[in-house]
Amino acid sequence: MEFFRKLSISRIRKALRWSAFSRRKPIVYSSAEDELSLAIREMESAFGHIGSSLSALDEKTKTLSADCHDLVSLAAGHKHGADLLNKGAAILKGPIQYVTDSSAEYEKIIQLMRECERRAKTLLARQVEMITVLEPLQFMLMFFKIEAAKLESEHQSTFLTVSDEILRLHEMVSNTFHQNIDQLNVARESIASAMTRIERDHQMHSREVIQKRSEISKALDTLDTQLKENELKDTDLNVSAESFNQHMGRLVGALQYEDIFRQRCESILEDFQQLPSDVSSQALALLQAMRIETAATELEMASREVSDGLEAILSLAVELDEISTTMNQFEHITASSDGMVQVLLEAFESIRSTLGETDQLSRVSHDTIKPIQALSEGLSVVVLEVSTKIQFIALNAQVRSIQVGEGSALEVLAAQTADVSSSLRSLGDETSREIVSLSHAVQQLMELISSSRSANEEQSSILGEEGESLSEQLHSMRNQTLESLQVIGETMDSVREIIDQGRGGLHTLPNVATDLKAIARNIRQQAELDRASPDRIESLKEELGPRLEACETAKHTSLRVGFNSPPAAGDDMIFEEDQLVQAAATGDVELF
Amino acid sequence: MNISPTTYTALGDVISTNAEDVWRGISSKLESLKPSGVLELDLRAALMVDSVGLNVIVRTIKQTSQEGGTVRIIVGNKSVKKIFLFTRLNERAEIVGP
Repeated sequence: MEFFRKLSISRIRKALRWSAFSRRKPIVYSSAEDELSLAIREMESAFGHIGSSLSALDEKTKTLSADCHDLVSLAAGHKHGADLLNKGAAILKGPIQYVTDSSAEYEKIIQLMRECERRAKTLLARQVEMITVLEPLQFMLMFFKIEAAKLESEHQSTFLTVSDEILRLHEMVSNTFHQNIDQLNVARESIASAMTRIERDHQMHSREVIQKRSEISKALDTLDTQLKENELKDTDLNVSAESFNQHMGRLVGALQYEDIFRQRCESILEDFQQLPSDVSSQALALLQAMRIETAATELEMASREVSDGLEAILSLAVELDEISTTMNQFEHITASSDGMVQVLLEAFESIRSTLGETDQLSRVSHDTIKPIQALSEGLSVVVLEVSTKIQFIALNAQVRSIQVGEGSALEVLAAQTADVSSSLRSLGDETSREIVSLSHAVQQLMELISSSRSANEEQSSILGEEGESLSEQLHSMRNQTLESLQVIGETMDSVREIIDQGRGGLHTLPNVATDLKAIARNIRQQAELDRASPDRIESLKEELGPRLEACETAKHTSLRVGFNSPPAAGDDMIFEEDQLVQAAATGDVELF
Repeated sequence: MNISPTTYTALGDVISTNAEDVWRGISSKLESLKPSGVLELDLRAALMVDSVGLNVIVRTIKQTSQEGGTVRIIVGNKSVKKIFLFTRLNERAEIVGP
């Protein structure tokens, strides 16, 4: 049984051997056909999957350089940064100058308020003196009445008129002077209290203004320097983006392996379909085995190259993501919390708040002084009226006493009234002078406050309109920066996702290459090429002649995508797809 | 002894349209912040922070720092964290998140 079994196997082997190298297609070729078709499908599947993802990614990465360039320009302040900085500095110049000047103005305001307070105090003293001087009139009024009672009715009525006038004057003085004294006292106290507050606020405000001004000025100077320094720096991010783009282009180039491989497999398959008649079966087997071995090598190389490419791109994606996030190379002009945008925005806020505080101080000063102004005007009228009236009363009393005759008590009273009038006149003149001085000081103060408030209003308006517009531009620039950052981040996330998927698809290719090599080995075994002498092999190769050339020379060439080496300037290793496919088909160019 | 932080929780994005409300919310928390206390900004609900929102956060950090406190920002979103790293807020506040 054993003998028959061995005989049977031997016959089958002979039959196979015969069929393999007769003009009929050997069975082993069918197996190779299946394996090659499978290899094409696997390659198509793996590369097709990566290819479609990469083409989408390639579209994104085409704008990556632009996005990175934008990010660098925006973050470093190249793009519009200098313009906005200059605009910001120009807008802040007026308000900062005003705030500085207003500090000196407040010194004047405080000085004038102090003067007003002092003059109000003097005026109060004068008022008290006037009341004191007028005090005896109350008693004299009684004497006038007593003395008048002794006179004939004709003179009596005259002196009673004088008494009435003295009474009215006294009432007027009582009502107005006392009221004025009270109001003046309140006003003086208000001035004193407002002055204390203004002085305290002003001192604090001055310190803040000096500090803010110094901070803003220093920040603007620093930003200016940083902008200039940033202009000189080459950018890691741009270099990295460029490298990423090149690698991406090369990876896309490496996908052209698929076409080359397919062309080669199809060429082998064609020869399987129509066995050439001008070469021996054994020579043909050698040719096909070598071509399949080349295809297997190509498949391995393609898998390795693309895999390396994916890894390189993944690593670049991580690097690019990190560089774009930190941008350590630059002083962040735009986005950082101490960058230009933030400094300018805070400067606007700070100056706006300072202008508000200054206006508040002006309002307090104005509200405090306003009653003094009204009081001094009213007082001036009253003092003049009192002075005039007392003079008239004194004159009237004197005239009437002369009419009554010399030596009467009324003459003494008239003389006393004249003395009071004289003292009051003198006091009234002094009070009037004080009132004029106070009014003058109040007027100066009101004008100063008014001019300060209108300057404040003007600067606030500039800051309100132009500052608002610039703030919007600054926010918009920072938003653009953040958007560029997001776009780059999202692109890198897509890269990572695609690469993860792509790596999965490549896993099957080395196994396919191993199977192809096994098929080639099988063909060699079946054609007994593995037992053939080197001379025999050489003779077969000679028989194959030019058919073999493409196969042998192809082993020495690859796409040399070179993912692991940094790309050199002008290093153009990306082949045009058409050229590669044509080269693979015709063997005009050394491919492998 | 650990002082428990004063927490402000944002209900969503911190952007120009709600920045004022966010600032008001933070301000009220700042009033109750103890000296050398921790103000926690819980931004887990935020998917986006724009330039105006960033301004509010920077202002918060400055004010808290002036009062002797520190700020901890809790983020729940990678891109928000990226913005905080990009703007170097991590140098001025503690950033906790993905």
